[in-house]
Amino acid sequence: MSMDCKQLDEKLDHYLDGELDAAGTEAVRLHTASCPSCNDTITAFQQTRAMITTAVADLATAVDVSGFFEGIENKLAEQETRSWRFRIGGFARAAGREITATLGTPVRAAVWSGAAAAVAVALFLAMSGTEPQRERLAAGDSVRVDTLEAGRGYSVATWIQPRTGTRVFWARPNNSFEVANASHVSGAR
Amino acid sequence: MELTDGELVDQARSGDRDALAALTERYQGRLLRVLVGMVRNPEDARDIAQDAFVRAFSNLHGFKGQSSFYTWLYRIAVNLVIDQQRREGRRRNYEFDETVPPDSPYTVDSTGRDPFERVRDAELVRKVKDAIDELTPDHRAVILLREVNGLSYKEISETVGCSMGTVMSRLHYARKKLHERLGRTL
Repeated sequence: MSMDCKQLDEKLDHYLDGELDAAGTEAVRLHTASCPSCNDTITAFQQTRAMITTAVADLATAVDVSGFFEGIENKLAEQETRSWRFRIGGFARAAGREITATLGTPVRAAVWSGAAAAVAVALFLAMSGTEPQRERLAAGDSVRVDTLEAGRGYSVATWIQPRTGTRVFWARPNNSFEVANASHVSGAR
Repeated sequence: MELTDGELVDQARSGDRDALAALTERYQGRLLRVLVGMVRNPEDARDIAQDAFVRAFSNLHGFKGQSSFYTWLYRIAVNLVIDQQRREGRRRNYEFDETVPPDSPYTVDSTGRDPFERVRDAELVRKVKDAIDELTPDHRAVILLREVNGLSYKEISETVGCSMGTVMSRLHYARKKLHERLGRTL
């Protein structure tokens, strides 16, 4: 099979990428043997490829790969934590909105939101209690587990008293002054 | 015997840390080479590569095995870069000489290379980097996946999510552009 310069140009990428069949590859070889211009073109493209590879390899040597996998593990752990906080917070806020719609006053709704968050925390603990936590419980430690923003200026903190097995959920205002104002405003309405 | 990607993915799905580490070890080098060529900044390349692994590992349940794991991983990574660069609306230009310790022609070379040759090589590398940077993110991704990682047309089409015809067209365009830009250097 013979090949002219135009045909070679059309097949150039396939040739460079090794995607030509044996007959096509042989046709390119025969043509370039008698065509210095096409031979130079192919050589130039191959040199360009070599330069790209060299330049990228040069850049890649500057990437610090120490602790690469540990970094991935950390990001996975952060993502997991965010995911739970998002779910619990979302649940509490959604419950708060529903209750606000029902009860009508922001302060009462905030208290109920806190209660909803506390339930969410309890569920979270039931589903994700870790071995270290269990060990600490067995040793009789008092463990502060988490504090969550419940929305509407309230946070919910959760403690566990291991000796009695009591779990305490404490909803409290983020800022008492603001809550007092909120109560006042609410009462004024 | 070395485990296949499919076997490692199965183990990773059940939370096997060693399987995650093995998949990372297997592909981090190749992924970083493509990414560093695309973003031209070693720290960004590292961050994006880690984010790509995190996304992949978080979504292993969604990996159906229709393509190979690394094609899927590349796709996540390349999309992260292309999305970022499109959002920026322009490519970020980094001063490599400040962040990458180059093979400086002004330091003592233990190989005994001619200093003039080393200056020329460093200049050549810089020109290639600039030429790659002038390509669009789509063209850059295709040329790097082909020339640096040696992916086939089919694998590239799966990675960047376009037809093989588009891959060939982008490759041809990118090569021509690089050749025009670097031809005089050769």
